[in-house]
Amino acid sequence: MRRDVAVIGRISCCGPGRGGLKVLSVIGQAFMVVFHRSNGKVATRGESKFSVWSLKWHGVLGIGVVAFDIVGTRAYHGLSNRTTLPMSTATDVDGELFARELDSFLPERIFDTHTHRWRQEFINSSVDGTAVDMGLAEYGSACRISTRSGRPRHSSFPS
Amino acid sequence: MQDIHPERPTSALFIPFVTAENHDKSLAANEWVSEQIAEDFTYGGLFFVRPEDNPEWVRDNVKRLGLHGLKCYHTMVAVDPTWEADVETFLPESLVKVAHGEGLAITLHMVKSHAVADSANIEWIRRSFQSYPNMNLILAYSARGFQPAHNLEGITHLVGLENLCFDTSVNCEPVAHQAIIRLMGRDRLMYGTHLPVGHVRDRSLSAFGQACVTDPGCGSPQERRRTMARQAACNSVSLVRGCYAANRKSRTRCPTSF
Repeated sequence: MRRDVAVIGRISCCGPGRGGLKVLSVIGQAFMVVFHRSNGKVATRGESKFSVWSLKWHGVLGIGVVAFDIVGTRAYHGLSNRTTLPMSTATDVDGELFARELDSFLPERIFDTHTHRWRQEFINSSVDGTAVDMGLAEYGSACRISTRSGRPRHSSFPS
Repeated sequence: MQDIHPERPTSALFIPFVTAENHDKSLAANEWVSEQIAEDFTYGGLFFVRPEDNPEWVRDNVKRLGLHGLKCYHTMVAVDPTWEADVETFLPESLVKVAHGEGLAITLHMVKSHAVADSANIEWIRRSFQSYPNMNLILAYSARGFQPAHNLEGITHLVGLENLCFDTSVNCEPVAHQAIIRLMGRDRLMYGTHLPVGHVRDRSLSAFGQACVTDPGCGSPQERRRTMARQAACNSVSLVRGCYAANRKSRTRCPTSF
């Protein structure tokens, strides 16, 4: 149980909020854990009206935490001045998450099999925070493609 | 993405896109993608097709542009709502035949509320592979299994089909990936980012038999970029968790490398 809670918590903390959101997420998780435990105790005595919920507490907990994260994010951003939030693409939390969960798992080379490329004239709109035209250069910029020498590079696609 | 897989050589399959009102610009979009990947052979590209496209015209242009497959999209068909369109309405059999003849990939964004668990989608996939087994079908978004129960139910009907793959893009549900790994094999699941659509959409969330995608609203550019990183992080973490769950004893490597 604790492990699952911890994992969900870590994912939740990947969210776009900063201190305020994390506090909200932690409160939400604590609330869901208390809910589960109190409900579980009652259910053991056969007095709970939510016995079905107690059987599916993983789902309830997961949905609750993520929903709280989303609501908290919206509330936090709604109360904040969006234009002055000092947000960057990466945070220390992201770096810690990458080192702990992803770094040793990912292969040395990566092929991204699904990425959309467009020019503004093809879609008649643009996305704030991105280039108007999304081509190879913009993809490279987004991925910060490493060009370390000595590594074989080839495609799995026939030409 | 530097936060997700830093210092790793990354290549990609580029998918052109035009909106329905710009459908007449599809060839220009395809030519532009071809130009973008021309200088780096590690990249691939797809050819955006419309249901009315002449199959021989498509075949000739795919060869001319050096692209590697077809991309269809449900908004190109006059069905209301397009979210319930049958696959054959936006990907005619004549185009599937081209993919079969040339050994091309097809990236398919299935629609219908039950995605891969929908009987019409299952029937189309099985029937198409029966007639055109040489195409390489990629079911996007882990078979659009934003509600993982759809994958658990539907993919069992696809076991044994050769040349059927899945990409993980935008799907943040570990069980959706796990279902593919367990039922189809880990070599069938490929990594995808969906970049830059993550700027527009936040993470997917399964709930009550269906799924929803949260909308980050109109944030600042910094928030947009942060949302993209968050979505990609959720996608990667869900993939890792799916792999762990599918193979707890021996820690597998990420199934996508080239």
